[in-house]
Amino acid sequence: MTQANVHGRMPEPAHGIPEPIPHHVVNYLLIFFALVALTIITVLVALHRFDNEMVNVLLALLVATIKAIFVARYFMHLKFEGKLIYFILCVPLALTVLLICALIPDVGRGIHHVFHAPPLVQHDAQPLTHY
Amino acid sequence: MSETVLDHGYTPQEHAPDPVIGHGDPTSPGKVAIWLFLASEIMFFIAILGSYIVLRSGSPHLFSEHAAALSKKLAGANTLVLIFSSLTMALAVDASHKGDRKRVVICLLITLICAFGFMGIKAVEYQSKVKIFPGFHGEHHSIVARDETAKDKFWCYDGHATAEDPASITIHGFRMPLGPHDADFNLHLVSEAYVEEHQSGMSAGDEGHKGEADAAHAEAKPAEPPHGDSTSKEGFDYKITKANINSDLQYGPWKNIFYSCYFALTGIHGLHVIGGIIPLSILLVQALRGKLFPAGTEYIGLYWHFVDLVWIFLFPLLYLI
Repeated sequence: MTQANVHGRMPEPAHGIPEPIPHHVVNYLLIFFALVALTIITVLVALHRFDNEMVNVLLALLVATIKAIFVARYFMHLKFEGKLIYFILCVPLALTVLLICALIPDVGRGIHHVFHAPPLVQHDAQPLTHY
Repeated sequence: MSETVLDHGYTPQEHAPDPVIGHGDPTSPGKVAIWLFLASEIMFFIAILGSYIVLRSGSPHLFSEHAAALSKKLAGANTLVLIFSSLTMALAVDASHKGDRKRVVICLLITLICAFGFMGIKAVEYQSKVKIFPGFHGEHHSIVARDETAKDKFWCYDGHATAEDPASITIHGFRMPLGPHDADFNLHLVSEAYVEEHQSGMSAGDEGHKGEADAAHAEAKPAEPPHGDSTSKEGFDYKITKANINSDLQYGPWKNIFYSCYFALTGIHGLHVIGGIIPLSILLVQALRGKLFPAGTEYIGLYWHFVDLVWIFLFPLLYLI
């Protein structure tokens, strides 16, 4: 381990090969099947389609969020990380919430008349483009 | 390869005490760097998703109708492919830490196959959009027009406007016969399977039709049997009298806000998948040469899981709701 000596940081460790970085035991296969099951649930909920559009959107996002938490915690090992990583992650997540909140006035009813497009299917069969 | 070489990159034993990050936190600088990169990626995708939210809130029906017309089978398959690739990537990281070269090679290989599989399925999906929802070149039109001779018959024309005069428009593309009650037919809102079913009824234009002088009566001829190959990529020229046009939709990524969002989000996500394929290939080649990079594999793994995570949100947002 001459490298450590060149850098002048530390005396050479006693062992030849550094100890592997400790990793954690996760049943990845179980997480995979949970994600597949959640994907099927997402599709079934979408195919069912509740009358209230907001319920459809919220349910789809809820299941997606649960899947994302599974991926982040177990596949990305967030569960085993220290405070520093959580801090790094908290900043963009907080900014995300801020950005979504900043969009509320645009998403509200007030802006609808600006963006609202007529339905694509014209049931009265009037031409959409006038020449 | 005689022996597997483990390169752990940063190890606290070698570098501590580090004046910068060595405050008792064992997190390696590489991991901090990749998480900072992922943090910037979160902001990047949230910016585009913010645009999606605002545009969708303005035209909720347009978005839900278009989402319903997209192929859920392909998107669902892609979701499963990415989730499976995340599993194999996590196993590759685990094997790399344990120094199990054979398992690293197998897992990285499967991850790469899944990545190419994802892009392949995406290409099939995009191809159908180019075929049915073109708009990459010129002014693309989807026109529903009344037949000149049979007033109760409609045609759906799909193609590019190649010429226009005060009384008529020439479309270079294909047309599909419609029934008497299909005056409000919308090509955007039918499935690809529907168009394939009706392809047998597609009529090709004939050569004599091209350049006909009498614009007022130069309506595309009705229900003639297909000439030659009706699915020819070149398409045919149809002259349509403007007075007979019932609806005319011009579209493409820049004309339809749903497809703007669709192509932007899936396209950028696809670029991220390609961005993952490159380091994964390097890791695989190195593993085949007998060199393992547990730390590097872990960092690439974090990126790959992030790409999977983004798709987990894109799938319901674009295809299901």
